[in-house]
Amino acid sequence: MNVTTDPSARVDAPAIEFDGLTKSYGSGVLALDSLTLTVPHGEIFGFLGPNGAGKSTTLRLMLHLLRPTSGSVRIFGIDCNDGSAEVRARVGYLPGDLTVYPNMTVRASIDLFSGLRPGRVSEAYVKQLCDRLSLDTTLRNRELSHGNKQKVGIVLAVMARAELIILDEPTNALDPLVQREVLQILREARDQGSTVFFSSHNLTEVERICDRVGMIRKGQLIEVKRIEDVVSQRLTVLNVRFEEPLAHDAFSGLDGVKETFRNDEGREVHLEVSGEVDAVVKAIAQHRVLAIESGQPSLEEEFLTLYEHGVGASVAGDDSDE
Amino acid sequence: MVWAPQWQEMIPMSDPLFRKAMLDLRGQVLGWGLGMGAMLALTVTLFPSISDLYGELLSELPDTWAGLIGDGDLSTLAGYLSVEFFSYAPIAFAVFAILAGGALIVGEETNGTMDLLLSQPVTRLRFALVKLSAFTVSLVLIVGISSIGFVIAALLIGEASSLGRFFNAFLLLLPFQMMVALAAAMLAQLFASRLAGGTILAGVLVVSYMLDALSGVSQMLVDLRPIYLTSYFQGVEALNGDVSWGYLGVSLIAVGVLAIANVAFFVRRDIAVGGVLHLPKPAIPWSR
Repeated sequence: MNVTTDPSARVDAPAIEFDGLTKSYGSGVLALDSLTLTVPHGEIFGFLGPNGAGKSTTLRLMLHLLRPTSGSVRIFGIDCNDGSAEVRARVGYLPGDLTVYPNMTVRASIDLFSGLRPGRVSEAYVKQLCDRLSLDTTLRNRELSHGNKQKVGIVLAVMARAELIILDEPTNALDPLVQREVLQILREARDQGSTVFFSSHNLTEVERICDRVGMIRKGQLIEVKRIEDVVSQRLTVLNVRFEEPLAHDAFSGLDGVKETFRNDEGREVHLEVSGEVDAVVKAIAQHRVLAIESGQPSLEEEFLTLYEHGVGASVAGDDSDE
Repeated sequence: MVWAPQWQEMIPMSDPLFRKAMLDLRGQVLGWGLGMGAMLALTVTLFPSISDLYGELLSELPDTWAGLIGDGDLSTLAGYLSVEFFSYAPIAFAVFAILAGGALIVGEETNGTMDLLLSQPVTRLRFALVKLSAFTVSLVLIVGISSIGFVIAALLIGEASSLGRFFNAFLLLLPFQMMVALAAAMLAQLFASRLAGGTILAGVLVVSYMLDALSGVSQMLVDLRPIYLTSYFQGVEALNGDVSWGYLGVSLIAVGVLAIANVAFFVRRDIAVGGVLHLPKPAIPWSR
């Protein structure tokens, strides 16, 4: 395999350009609706959405595993439909529904896929990845747990140090320590010049690593944000039990605080806080508190909040050119 | 960037995909080759002791019954094998062709490994051609290993004088089995199900076999021979020295057309999400 510079490819082209990309299935199901988005080089972009939102469909369209109904996706300026092998020579991919040949050992699997990219995979880097992920390469794939299979997929996706790494829910089935290691590996890939595009339904995970995040729901991209903005607007849910009933307007003057319900004549209050919690914590502290619970809402609740605030109207705020 | 394959990639044996495909088929090659070879050797070694008995038995049968068995001269090894081996061999080998053919392209999808494979710098055309090449080589090996059993047994019983005609009969298994396998592959793609493709083809094959066998007793069934799938195996005719070039030509054309159709359809369609037995969007609905 040789990958040489194609003079027709745009040198200044972004890593990924979706242009009205649409995918519908024969039964009338619209899996992806006019996705338009640009991801520049060297960015970690999180593609966030609940199950069935169209994340995997988008990723599979990028790999030409699916054919678009309309629109296009260009990777490094190359249309994925016109030159898919050229694109894939520069891409590493972790499928969401990963199956690796069950009768092969991990080592043999790595050798097989390395053989399809001759000269691109460093044995030292493969060893380093396997060591960092505590992956035993002598085992057969059928003997691996779900988490260990996921590790194999991650090694196969990143071992060629591809210019673009596409991952479908990469931390699925991994324990927290390995998740942290995987995210670190992706940060390092970004630092070495790779672009990372990964899907997730876990906002916390996306917050930890991404530069920007795109939120997709029911096949439509509803918003693209810098991760700092996501964090600053993120909802925190507080359930507080007070010793005495609170006045109805106890929290009404605070920005970004919404009281959703109260029980026990106002002794138990449920609050949703958008952004910083400092003001509300200080307001709570003015009363005698018996118990307090805090948590993050589910992704679906976050999306509903976004809709309520009317931000899903367009993606005009796509700041990819920044 | 452009994709520039080096000369090594043009040689199938140096292609990791081809090696993998051959490794996947090695068990079937050995099993079918050695199994059919052993059965053939046993059949041939029984020939000297059984041929006279068969000849006497056939001479006493009514014409209609004799017609069902076939018109081979059981006193010769060629006639004996046309009844005792080549009458069922195309069906027996077709079991392999249907199983392996059904999995030829769709297998990686139903196993859930296609996404990972096609995310590598591998074109769909290369994938399909490698799979077709590996299947063809496997089929040649199976028929070759089987025919070794025949040659050894024929030498043992001193019947090595007309090996050329037997070689032709074995050779003619190849286009027929290729046609069956490629039809199974095409049906599996169209119905998005290995099971559906295999079932339909096996049904057609068994009905063809029965009608072809019964055609010895009915002129009407003889006239319908062009529509029987089994008519396109010309091995028995090769043993008797009267191969129908029309049937052979049609089977060779069918192999070419089916190979192109399989590749063309595969290159243009969506790849099913892995790990499912039935692919989600068949071109022809098979079941709800």
